[in-house]
Amino acid sequence: MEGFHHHHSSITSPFSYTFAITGTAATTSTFNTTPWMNSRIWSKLPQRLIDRILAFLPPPAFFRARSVCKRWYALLFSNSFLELYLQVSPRRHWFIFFNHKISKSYIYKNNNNGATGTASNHNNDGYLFDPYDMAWYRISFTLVPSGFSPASSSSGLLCWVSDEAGPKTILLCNPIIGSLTQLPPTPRPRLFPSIGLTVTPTCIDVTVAGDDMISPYAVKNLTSESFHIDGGGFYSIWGTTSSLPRLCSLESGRMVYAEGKFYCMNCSPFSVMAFDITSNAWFKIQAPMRRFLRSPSLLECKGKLLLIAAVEKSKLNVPKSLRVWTLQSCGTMWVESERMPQQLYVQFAELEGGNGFECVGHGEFIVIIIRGTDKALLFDISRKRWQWIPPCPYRRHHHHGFVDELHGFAYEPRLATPVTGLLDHLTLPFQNFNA
Amino acid sequence: MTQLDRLSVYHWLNAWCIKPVGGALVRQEPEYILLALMGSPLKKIMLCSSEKEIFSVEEQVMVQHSVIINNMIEDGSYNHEESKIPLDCVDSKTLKKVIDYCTHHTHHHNDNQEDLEAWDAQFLNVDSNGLYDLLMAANYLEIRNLLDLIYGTIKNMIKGKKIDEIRRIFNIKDHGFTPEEEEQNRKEYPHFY
Repeated sequence: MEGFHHHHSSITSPFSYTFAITGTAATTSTFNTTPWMNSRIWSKLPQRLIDRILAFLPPPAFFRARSVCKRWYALLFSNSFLELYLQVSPRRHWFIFFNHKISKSYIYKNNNNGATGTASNHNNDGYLFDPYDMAWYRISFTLVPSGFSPASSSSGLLCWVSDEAGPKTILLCNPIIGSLTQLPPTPRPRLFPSIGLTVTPTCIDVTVAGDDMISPYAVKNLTSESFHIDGGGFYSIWGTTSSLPRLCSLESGRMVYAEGKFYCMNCSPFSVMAFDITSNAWFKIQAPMRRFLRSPSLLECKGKLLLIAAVEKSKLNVPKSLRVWTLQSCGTMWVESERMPQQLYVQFAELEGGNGFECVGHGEFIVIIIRGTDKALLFDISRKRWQWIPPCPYRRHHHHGFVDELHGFAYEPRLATPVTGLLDHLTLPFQNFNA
Repeated sequence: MTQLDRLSVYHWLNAWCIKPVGGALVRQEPEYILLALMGSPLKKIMLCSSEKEIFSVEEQVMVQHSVIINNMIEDGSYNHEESKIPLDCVDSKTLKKVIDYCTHHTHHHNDNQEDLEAWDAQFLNVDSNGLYDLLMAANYLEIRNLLDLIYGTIKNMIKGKKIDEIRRIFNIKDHGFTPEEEEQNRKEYPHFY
C-alpha cells in the first residue's frame, strides 16, 4: 500500500502532537472503564487478537499504547496491521476545530516572507473533539506551510487551500500520520471559493466553486471546477467545469456532501445550492421558512442533508426556536425533524445575544458554537440529548476576554488513509511548476 | 417474532391451507412474506460443545450470525437429519451464551438502538474468564457483531490504563525500548505517565 511513511530507524515522530484528556471529561460508557484485568487470562491472548484490540483503540489511546513495547510501536508501519485496522476499526464521528484566521492571513500575506518559524505554527493548531467521551485533544499541523487554511474534510483527511488570490492549491492532510499530498492547482484564479471534498477508500472528489476573479479586482460567482480520481483509473484533473446559477452568493467555506451531491448555503434570500457530482450540474433548493432564518448551516447525518437555523417570526405568535429540517428524498421538500427544547433555547439565546452561531455535524452529532464565546452545545440526534461541551483547555484567550472564533469540521482521526496513494503519481510532474 | 409466534402462524397457515410455495405465499401480508423469506420456520441445527453437550438452535439464527456455520451449511457438509456441528473449543457455558446472543439479535433486530445496547451491556456483564471465553468462541465462529461488541468492551477497559499497567496485563516483560527511547516517548506524550 502506498502512502505510508516508514520510520523504522528512529523513534522520533515526523510530527508533534499532544494528547491530553481534560479533567472534566464525562464518561458516557456504560461499562466500568478501569476494571481489574487478570493477566493470567489476558496474557494468553494470541498476538493477532491483541492487534485487533489495538485496532479498536481511538487514536489518542492507540498512540499511548505504542509506548508499551516495540512491537506495538511498529504496528503503525505494518501493512498487515493497517489492513486489519481499516477493516475493523469502528466509525468515530469526531470533530476538529481551528481558530478562524482566514481574514487575518489575507491581510498579512504581503508581510509573510515565507519563513515558517515555530511561532507561526501556533495558527495551525487543531483542537480534536471526541463527542463520545466529551474530551479535547490538540494536534499540531506543522507540516502544512503558512498561507493555507483548512477548508473541508472527509474520511480522515483534511483539505487545506491556499489563501492567496489566484489559482488555488489544495493540500490533503492526514495529521495523525503526518502525511501531506498536494493536488495540481486549479486552472482559474479565485479569491475565497467554497470547497467540497468527499473521499472514499477508492476515490477522491473535490469541487471548487465561486469567487472567480474576472480581473484582479473583480470577483463574481461564475463557475465551479471539479477534480476526480479513483482506483478504477478514471480521473479528471480540474477538467470538469460547470456554470453556477445566475446571481448566487455562495457562502465561502466548506460544502457539505450527501448522497452524491455537494451542498452550500446561498445568502439573501436563503436557499441551498446543490451540485450533482456525476451530472456536473448546479441547482437551487428553496430553504424552509427562508425569510425567518438566522445563522443557517448545512449538515449531513446518515446520508441525509439537514439544515439547522434559528427561527424568528416576530409577527406571529411563534416562539423563537432553533430547528433542524431534513431534506426529503424528492430533493426539494424539507420536513422539520428536531427542535431545541424551549427552556434550553432561552438559555442559548441569552448567551448568543444575536451574535450568531456556527454548526457542524458528523454522524449522529451536531455541534453548535456560539460566536464570540467559548460556549458550545452538543446534540446527539439518535439519543435526543443536548449537552453543553466543556471548554477546550488549549485555546488562547486574549487579555480582554475575547475568544478567537472556532471554525469546525467533521473529522474522523484515522491511522491510515491509503487512498492518497492515488495522487502520488499525479503530483510529481506538477511540482516543477510551483514557484 | 418469537418462536411461539412463528409456531402459531405456522399452524394457522396449515389450518387454512395456505402453503408457502417456492418461497412465495398466496396471501400478501407482511408477516407471511417474512416467514417465506426466512424459509421453513423451525428448521434446527445441533451444536455440540467441548463437553459433548448438544444444543439445538434455529438454523436461521446461527446462519445469520456465524460465518463458519453459514459456510458449513451452504457447502452441504451439514446433514440435518444426522449431523451435529462439533465445537471442540467452546465449552457449554460459553456456547449457551453465544446462542443466547445470536437468538436475541435475530429476534430483536428491529428494536431501537438504546434497548439493544442495554441488552448487550447486560449480556457482557461477565467476569474476565467469561469475557475471554466469549471472545475465543466469537472469534472461532466468526460472529462479527459479537466480536465488535467484545472488542469494544476490552478496548474501553484498556483505554484509560497506564503503560505499566498494560504491560502487566499482557505480561510484556521486555518492552524493547532503550532508556533513551523511553525518555523520548515520555517527552512525546507527557500527560500519559
